[in-house]
Amino acid sequence: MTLPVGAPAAAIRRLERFSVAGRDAVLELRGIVKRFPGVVANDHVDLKIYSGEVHALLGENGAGKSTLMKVVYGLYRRDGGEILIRERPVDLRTPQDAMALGIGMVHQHFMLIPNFTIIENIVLGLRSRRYPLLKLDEAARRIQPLADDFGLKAPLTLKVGKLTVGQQQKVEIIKALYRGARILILDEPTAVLLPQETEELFKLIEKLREGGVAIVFISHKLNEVLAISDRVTVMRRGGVVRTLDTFDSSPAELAEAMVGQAVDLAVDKEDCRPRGACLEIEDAEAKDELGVLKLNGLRLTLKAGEIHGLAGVDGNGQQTLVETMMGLRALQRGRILFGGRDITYSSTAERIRAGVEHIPENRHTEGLVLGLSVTDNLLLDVFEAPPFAKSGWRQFRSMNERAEALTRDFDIRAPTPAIEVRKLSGGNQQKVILARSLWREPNVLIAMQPTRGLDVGAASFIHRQIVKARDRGCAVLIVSSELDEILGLSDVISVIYEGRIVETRSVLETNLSRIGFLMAGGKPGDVPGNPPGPVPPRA
Amino acid sequence: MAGSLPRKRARARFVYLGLGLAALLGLTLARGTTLGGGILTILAAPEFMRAALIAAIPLLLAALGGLISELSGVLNMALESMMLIGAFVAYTASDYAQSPWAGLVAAALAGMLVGLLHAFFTITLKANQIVSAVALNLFALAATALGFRMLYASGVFVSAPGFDALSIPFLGKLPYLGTAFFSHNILIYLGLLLIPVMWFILYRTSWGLTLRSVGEHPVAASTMGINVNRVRYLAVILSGAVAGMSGSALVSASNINAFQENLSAGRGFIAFAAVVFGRWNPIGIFFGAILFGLGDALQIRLQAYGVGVPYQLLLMLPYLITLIALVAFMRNARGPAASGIPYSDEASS
Repeated sequence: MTLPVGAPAAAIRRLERFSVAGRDAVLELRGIVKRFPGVVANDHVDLKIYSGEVHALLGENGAGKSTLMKVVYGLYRRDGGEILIRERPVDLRTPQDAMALGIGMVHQHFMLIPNFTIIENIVLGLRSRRYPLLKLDEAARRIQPLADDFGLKAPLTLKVGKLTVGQQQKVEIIKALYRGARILILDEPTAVLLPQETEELFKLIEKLREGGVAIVFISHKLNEVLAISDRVTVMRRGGVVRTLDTFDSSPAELAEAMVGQAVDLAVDKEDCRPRGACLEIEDAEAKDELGVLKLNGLRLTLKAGEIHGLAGVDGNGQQTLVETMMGLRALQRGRILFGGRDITYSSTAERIRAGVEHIPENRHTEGLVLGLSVTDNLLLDVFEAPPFAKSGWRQFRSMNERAEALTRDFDIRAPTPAIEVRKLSGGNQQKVILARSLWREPNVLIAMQPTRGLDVGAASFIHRQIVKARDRGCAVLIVSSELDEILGLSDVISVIYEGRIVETRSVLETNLSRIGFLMAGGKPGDVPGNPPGPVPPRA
Repeated sequence: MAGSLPRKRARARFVYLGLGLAALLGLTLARGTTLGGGILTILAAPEFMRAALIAAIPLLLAALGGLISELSGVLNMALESMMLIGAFVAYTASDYAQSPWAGLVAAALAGMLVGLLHAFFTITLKANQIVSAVALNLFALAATALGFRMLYASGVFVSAPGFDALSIPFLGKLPYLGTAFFSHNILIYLGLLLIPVMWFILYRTSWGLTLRSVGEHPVAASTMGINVNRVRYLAVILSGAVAGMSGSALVSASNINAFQENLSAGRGFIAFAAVVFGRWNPIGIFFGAILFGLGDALQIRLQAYGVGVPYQLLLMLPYLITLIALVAFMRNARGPAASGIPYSDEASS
């Protein structure tokens, strides 16, 4: 694979070159500067957006895309530069100013109140004609046509918490349009969507574009940018690298602009040579902390020397599965075998000693003790055993030696391992967890969202280390909501739905749309247009 | 999994049915004994309901005040201090001005001042909301005691002018209902009227929606152009005004219209619990308050009747009833999502 897949099958490359002629510049940024303590998030950024244009802002995490758009939306106050709306300089201080100027923004984490109805969410902060009365029924009459237009099929009096993620996004878009938005900023809109939902979103964007709405599409996914945008502005380290016509640009060119060097987008790996079953889960049933049954007769076998990807919409039992595998949560029924031995009732410490390691989903709350040093975090599971402690006394010399070696081997960029782990960047924090779970060469590695929120450089480093562990004979389970990652890294892919494995297939025999269909609850027999058999995993 | 919820509900219905039958059986048996019969006569009298309502209103006002604050995302355990300071100020002001209305207004103003302090500590300084409330409560207890001893050093009970009972024409003449509900002082009516008024403001006006949004998801509210901290300040101050008035109601609840040290005696905490009991809903809160009122009226009557139980134990009764009700019914109570969490503008980055 040379490219991360992820574009929906129906997405089409732009067929013609985008022309500025005859269009108005609706938004122009001149030399925008935004500083945070210790960082320049936006360093003299220039940008020009035309009506009826889909303009992609492409860049890695931390490149300053979201910050720039939060400045435009009035959430951050700029430290320098000028904003022009329809060629008139404006002073944006609050989101209300931005809304009054026709700017709407759909945030990466939706700004919806789950406990409020759809209408309440849409009219929040607006004055009805008979202020201060709410008059929700009147508002509903005006919102309903918009909702119909965008295929929001839920009744407007439904609580937003009951909607699917795709529907919630539509509510967000309607919310912006109802306020008269002519410039719509979408911050990583596809990050939370299923492939099918992404397709629907792209159709919706197309529709808005034809209606003359200017759309700023923030993303770090190359193929989506190529599929939907007219022009692309690539950002890196707070500045604009260049703006180009999507029609003229190639994926490699964009990727290079993004990271500043030619990058190999593929996960390099040899064919896997799986050995025998290493960890087996049989008919597992388990409940989560709320008492809801999350695993419902789940079976899964991890083989030594194989990377097993687990695809699924969040909340289908992934978290509970990983917890039961690590002995953090008890099984109600079923058992777990490790090398043929029953470890269902073994403690977490026993499992770690046997060589079962774990990269938890949330590095801040589960993975690290943020207030402790890098050294202490690296040795968190072994600090009381020799050589790091002798008869209850900690052995600082051997601890420091080990920490030095690990920070070097795993490329952890810290001024000194004695520094609090809180002070490292996300990528380096994740490398600390990776180093801790890999340095003693475990037999099983369970990695949840191992590269969430990391830039391409750190992510590919982590991928290489995981492949290396596999080649050594480690059985790996990757749980990720990034299908790109699962498809790129795994040898075998299982799809989990409502606490069961729906299907397990070699990566060579499945593809994105098939997995997406199964993730949404489809049955393996009903996959449309996908006759079983080898299908190249490319979109 | 699918069948478990209805089954649970069915089981609950059996439990309630059983409890009801047991209560009925107990009452029938009690009628036979002299003590039981006497108590039943007391309970059936309209004065019992009347006393319960009078005891409930200070609690209701304080809890409605607490509700305003909590819906905006600021826990208000300082209700106790607002109530106590309100009571002291209401008493002194109506004594000096010789008008109960002056007392009511002064109590509301004093409550607002306490609210302003609580808001400053928790919103501007981002102090822990419980710690701020505990400090205010301790301060109020000491300050009112000091003020009372300084102003009324003689120790002679001075009765301040109180609100007169206001019998509603026609309704006040009804048997039972007239005495129980329609011949109270004006504060009782105002308190009851506040229930529908608050409900309407919370659920039918933009102000209510704004208030609730700030308590549920302040970041989302701010992206919609709402000034979160301003709304929270206003809410906590308004909360103080209503809770301060509860102090005035507390003074007039005693027939002699007098203040004494620690007059509120933890009622502010009961009001804090009543907000949870009422599931953050004005109507539910009313039931929480009336439950406490019934317990209070009952214990006074039991004391007077002489059931042979130390009166200290009887004093515990309303608190005990509230506690049991809270534990029994509140297992899955869910309040505003952002309750208790300070909001900062840069948190959205």
